[in-house]
Amino acid sequence: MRSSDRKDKDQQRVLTQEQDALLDLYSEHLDRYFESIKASEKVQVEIETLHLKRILSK
Amino acid sequence: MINMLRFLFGFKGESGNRMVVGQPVQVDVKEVQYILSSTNRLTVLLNLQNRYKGTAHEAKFRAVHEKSKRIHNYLVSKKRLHELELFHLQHTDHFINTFTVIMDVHQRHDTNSPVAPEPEPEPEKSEVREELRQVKEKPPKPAKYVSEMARKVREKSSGITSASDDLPVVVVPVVELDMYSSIVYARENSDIGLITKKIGLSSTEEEKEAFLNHLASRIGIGKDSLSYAGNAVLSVPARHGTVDTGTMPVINWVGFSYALSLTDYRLFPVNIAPKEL
Repeated sequence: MRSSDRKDKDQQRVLTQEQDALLDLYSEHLDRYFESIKASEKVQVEIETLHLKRILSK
Repeated sequence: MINMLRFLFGFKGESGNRMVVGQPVQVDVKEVQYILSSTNRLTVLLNLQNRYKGTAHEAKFRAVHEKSKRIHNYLVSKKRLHELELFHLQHTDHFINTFTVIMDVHQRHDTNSPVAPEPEPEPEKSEVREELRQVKEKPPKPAKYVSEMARKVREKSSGITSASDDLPVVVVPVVELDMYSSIVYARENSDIGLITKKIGLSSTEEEKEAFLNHLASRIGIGKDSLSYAGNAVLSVPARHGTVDTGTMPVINWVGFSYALSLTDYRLFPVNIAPKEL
């Protein structure tokens, strides 16, 4: 099953291994990017909170 | 206390970017543009995914499209539109470019069918002049100006051929298509404000269609015989002996390529440089 599957896919392979790996990397990078933009919002909240705290403790 | 806080935050110069959660935010024209161009890029990604349909990589392209869409939705919902534009500039555009070129090359080599209709044979000089003459005569609108131009061109070129035989043969300039640029070719007022129409290689099929429609109405050539090839940077002669330099759209018209001057809709024959990797 698997070998026939692979053979089938090989026939329609357009990208080289390197290009395919690049595609994987890009996909993973998008995940990380999404996490980072979500995280940056949390960081912003933290910074604002910290900022306010500092002002009040002065 | 509040005054002090206001002073501090105001002093930081950030208040312009702040917004109160739940409050309707005024969207400016630039931000609308960012959303529109982001949507366009998603469409291009989808088209790219379709081009890879049936290959072993289809699922990955689908994943890339979905992930890009997720980022789009997230940033739009947070009104972080500048970041969205930046994301596309730094990621999507490069991605689209790379994998479009790979597919183009693949199709050209493996199926022997060129993706873009590129005129391969170098047109002979007289042929070009013939084409040029046709171009100058066809547009019905600025008829007087154009026919005068055509007369001048004919006079000039006949002068050249009769002057001397050992003059160097002039070939049509070769232009290189620019992947990233987009050109604003029309501005229109509509109920959501000023709309600018742009054309570039990453434009959607609808946008290219709209551009060709616009063009057909301006230069009087049937839309069916025209196709959009890309944008290129070049200098062309303009009125009163001046020179126009800038990014111009390049179109195919029955087998030959022409750069289009958007200031007065004149066509200049060009050859498109073969894409390099």
